[in-house]
Amino acid sequence: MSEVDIRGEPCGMPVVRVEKYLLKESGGASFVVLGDDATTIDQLRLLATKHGWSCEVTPLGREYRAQFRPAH
Amino acid sequence: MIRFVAAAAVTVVLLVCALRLDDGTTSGRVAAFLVACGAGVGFVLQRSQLCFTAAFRDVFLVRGRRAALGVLAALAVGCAGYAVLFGAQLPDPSRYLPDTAHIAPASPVVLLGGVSFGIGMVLAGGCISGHLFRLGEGSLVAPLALLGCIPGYWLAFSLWNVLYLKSVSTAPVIWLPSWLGYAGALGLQLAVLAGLAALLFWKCREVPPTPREATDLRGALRRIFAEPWPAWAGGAAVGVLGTFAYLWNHPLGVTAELGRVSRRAGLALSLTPSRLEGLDRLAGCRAIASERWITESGIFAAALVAGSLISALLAGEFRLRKAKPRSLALAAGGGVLLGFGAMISLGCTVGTMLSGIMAFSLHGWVFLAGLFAGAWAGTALLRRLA
Repeated sequence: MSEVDIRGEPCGMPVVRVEKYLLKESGGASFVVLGDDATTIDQLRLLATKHGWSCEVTPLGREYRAQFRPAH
Repeated sequence: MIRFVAAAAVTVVLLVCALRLDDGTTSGRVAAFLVACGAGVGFVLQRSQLCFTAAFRDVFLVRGRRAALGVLAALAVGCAGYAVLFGAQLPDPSRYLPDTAHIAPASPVVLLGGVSFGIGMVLAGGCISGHLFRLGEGSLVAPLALLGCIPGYWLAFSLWNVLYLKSVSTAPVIWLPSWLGYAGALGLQLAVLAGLAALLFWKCREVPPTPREATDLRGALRRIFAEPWPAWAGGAAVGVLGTFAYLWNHPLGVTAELGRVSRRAGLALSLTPSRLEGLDRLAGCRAIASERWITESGIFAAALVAGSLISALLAGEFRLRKAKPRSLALAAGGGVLLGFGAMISLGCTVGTMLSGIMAFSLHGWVFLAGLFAGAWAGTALLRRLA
């Protein structure tokens, strides 16, 4: 499964990168986001909702893994 | 365990600083109060993750309303508090302006500053107060963004005299209570804030809250010191702290010290004009070239960082956060726009937007409109850069 690594990026840019991947590069297939800033998690969830996807977040120590899946 | 000891050590340092500053004089007591108030604001901002940048940017980016509702709560509580204090100080608002509040000309320059600041905060990943509280969390991007503000200030200083003479000096200072009375001004502002909140509930979303532990003592302590507070609660707390700060004649503001340091550095390097027209007569976070080693604004900002550090340590959220080179470049570039906007607007999201609107000054609303436009443009730019 393809991955988008947003670690080391402050607020704003990670969500923009994930949105760009979701719309232009994912081809509608599930993908994983690796992040390290907890404040971005809520934004990723909202982003998934905005585009009709689901976002399931699993904590990995200080980092996290967010699984993006199309709703259907 | 180490983090609790570290949090206790920072708290002790703050207490010692406050006690040392309180030398029995009025200025000493004010400085001690600003240590407590700054630490309180830093603690609240970190705990509630009340980010002014997210309040604007997330509306465009993910249609998120959490932070925006927090800011509206801060404004609503703060303007109610200010109305009470103004009413006690100046029973008749039609005759005089409260001279210590952040009430300034509502000029196009403030709008321009808001746009610049709005773009800058989206690119830099935070506004100036945001980077101060992120500094307390161990952000390595924040120092670069704050340093980036300095050339922005220099650019603004070089343009200030033209901007002042062409626009600021002739722009009206509009203080709503002098037109509408306190009840009218408070009613109008609360109605506008309620309208904006209704718009957010209609157009935007909120992440569902996560399930919480039962409310025993342990659970309650966890909620206060470890779990994120609701943004509205953080906003309301900022509104209360803002009211207390004004009670001590120091409206909330974080940029005056940054402006002062920038101005002194610019003067030393012959990069800024020696005279800035009219600046001394304006209210707000002015960049005054004082020779003191630290001003009240600097004390407040340093305490804000310390308060955020205490909160982050207690919650286990402090760590040095590495950043990619692109993020560092964006922070520095965004910082220039932040500094420029903060100088020409006499403050930032705190000193001009919060303290201006709480004080019923139209210039605070003008700055807010500029921030909104700037955040929209900044978000569009960020999408192009991604």
